[in-house]
Amino acid sequence: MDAMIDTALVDVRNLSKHFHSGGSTVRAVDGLDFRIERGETVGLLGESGSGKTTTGRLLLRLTPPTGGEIRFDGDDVGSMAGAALKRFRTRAQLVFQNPFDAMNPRFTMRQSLSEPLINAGIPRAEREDRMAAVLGQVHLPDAAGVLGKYPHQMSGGQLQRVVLARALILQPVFIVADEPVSMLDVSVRAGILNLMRDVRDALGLAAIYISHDVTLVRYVCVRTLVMYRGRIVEDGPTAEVVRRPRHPYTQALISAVPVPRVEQNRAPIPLRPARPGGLDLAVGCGFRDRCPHAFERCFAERPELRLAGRGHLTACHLDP
Amino acid sequence: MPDLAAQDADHTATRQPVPVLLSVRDLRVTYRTSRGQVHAVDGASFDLGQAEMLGLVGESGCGKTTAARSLTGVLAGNARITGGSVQFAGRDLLSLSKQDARSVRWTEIAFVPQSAMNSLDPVYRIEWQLLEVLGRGSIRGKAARKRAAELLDMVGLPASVLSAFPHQLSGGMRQRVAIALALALNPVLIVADEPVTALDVIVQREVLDTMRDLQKRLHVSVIMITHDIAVVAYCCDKIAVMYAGQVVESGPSPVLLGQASHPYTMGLCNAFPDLERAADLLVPIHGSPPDLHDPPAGCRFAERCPFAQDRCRTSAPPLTQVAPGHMAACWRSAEAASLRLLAQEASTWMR
Repeated sequence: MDAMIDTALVDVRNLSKHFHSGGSTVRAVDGLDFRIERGETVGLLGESGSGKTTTGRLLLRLTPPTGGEIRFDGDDVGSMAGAALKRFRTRAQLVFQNPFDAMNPRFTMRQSLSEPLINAGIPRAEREDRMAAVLGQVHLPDAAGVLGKYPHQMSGGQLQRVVLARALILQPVFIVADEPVSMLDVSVRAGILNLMRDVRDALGLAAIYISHDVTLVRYVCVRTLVMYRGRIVEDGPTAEVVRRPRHPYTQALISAVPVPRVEQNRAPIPLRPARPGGLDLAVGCGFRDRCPHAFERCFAERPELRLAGRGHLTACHLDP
Repeated sequence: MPDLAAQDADHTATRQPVPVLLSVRDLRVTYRTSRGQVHAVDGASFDLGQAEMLGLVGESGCGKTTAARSLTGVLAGNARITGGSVQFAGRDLLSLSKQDARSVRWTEIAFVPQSAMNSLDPVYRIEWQLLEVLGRGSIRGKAARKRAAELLDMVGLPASVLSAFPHQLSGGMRQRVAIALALALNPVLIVADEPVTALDVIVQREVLDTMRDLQKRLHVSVIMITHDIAVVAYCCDKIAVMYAGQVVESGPSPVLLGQASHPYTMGLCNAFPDLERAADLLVPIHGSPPDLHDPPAGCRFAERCPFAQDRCRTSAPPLTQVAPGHMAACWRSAEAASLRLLAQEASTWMR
């Protein structure tokens, strides 16, 4: 272990969330280890059911883990209470997926934005300034016009900017954004993605973007974690993960992404169909039934995340 | 900058003419709402050749789903077709009697709705659902059961799926079942509404490959409705781009993706992130589409178009041919090559 460990903003160790239903155990999140440094933008890539949304909820203490721990700025998130928990709730914020669901339809933007300020005990005199400032940050300069509006009077793109503004208004140091643009149209999405880059650069806040969309993560995130069946299978600089994926799942994923051009140079890597009825995820590799390279060891022994290149980790027995 | 004009000439010269299967002209569909008539499709025109795959592309509310649904006769109760014609294999679908239209729609045009879970009945096994559709085409008994197994095989599913309920299948498997249902009566045209949108990337690619393979093997024509340019680029021969109820540009995929003539198409291509060129800044299109209760008089994109001139705001440009097989509705399509270069600059779209 190196000396950096104390400075990580988010330090996740062996984090698990197992659900028990009808005598069987669902390993939604199964032993995650990763860190997010201050100001670092990390993408969490995975398909539906991979545990990425549960991971986001665990990071914000919206659901308790069944194992492991999360340290936020050195403090154990699970044991926070009282003032410490309240402070955590202002410093770590969630950006919702669907802007139309995230905003109360009966609240004006002013009501929606002032709610977190009131909860945090910000005096009335300061609130208007804070709201105008944060709307400027999300490129909605006409604060007076925006604040009087109801959600139905705004476009999806404008509303998503306000959702982002609400997450930023208490000046957090960490945000969790779960599929932040999946509900938006292409022409609008580009603007929000640019905005996220601007916010990343201007505010220097740490963020984790949870998405199934490789192109989005490529565009916004400096580092990428790839999840498959509750585990992290790859962790590295985004450009490396996209250009030289190490884990067979990541390789298949990247090869399957279509590009908006006629020349599609990459041949998709075929995978075997998933084993019907699922796998026993307590042993072996979670990708062993679909992996084109699986061998005996993959069935018997769980691969741990290991360094495979500069700052690039992968959990695969093929990697030496 | 590569010489795009030269590539353009290549693509159009090597294309073989394909017999036309479907010809939609000036289609108009309105919805009755509490706020008055919404002109959801307002003069849409496009063609589809035999055994071609057409991507009908546009953003939410542009009328792509409504246009496609009016081909298959599955419009919502408050919708009404108010004009235009739909020539399909030599007949005008819009002037057929209800009964004739229905028989065409069951056997010749099949529809794959947006969410496969909604198109399958949760309380019946897959085999029963296939048999029901086959029964509509008078295929019954042993022959029907044999055909049901064949259909699943065609979409890459094992026969064991026959006895499964929809909830026992993954999203990708359900989507394959929905495609199998569409293929049941050997249609000549399949209309698929966002068939892969809800699927994960790897599954999406597998389903697209299956669709393309079937389309080639069975010589069936496909209209794929999607907002995803990358999906269209991957599998469609032709593209029609819709904006505010109208087709603003159509043509062979390589031409539309590389040599777009309409500024909206140029904007869409710029706004789409490309995994292999992700470092550049994305260029958004500012503003939002017009209210279709009361669409503007001129070009509907003028409000958001960086190249709009006075006449664009007063008179609507017709869909005209800019090259063989390539149509665009823009007053400035003659200047498309230079506008395309400008459209790639982020500053062009900043206002």
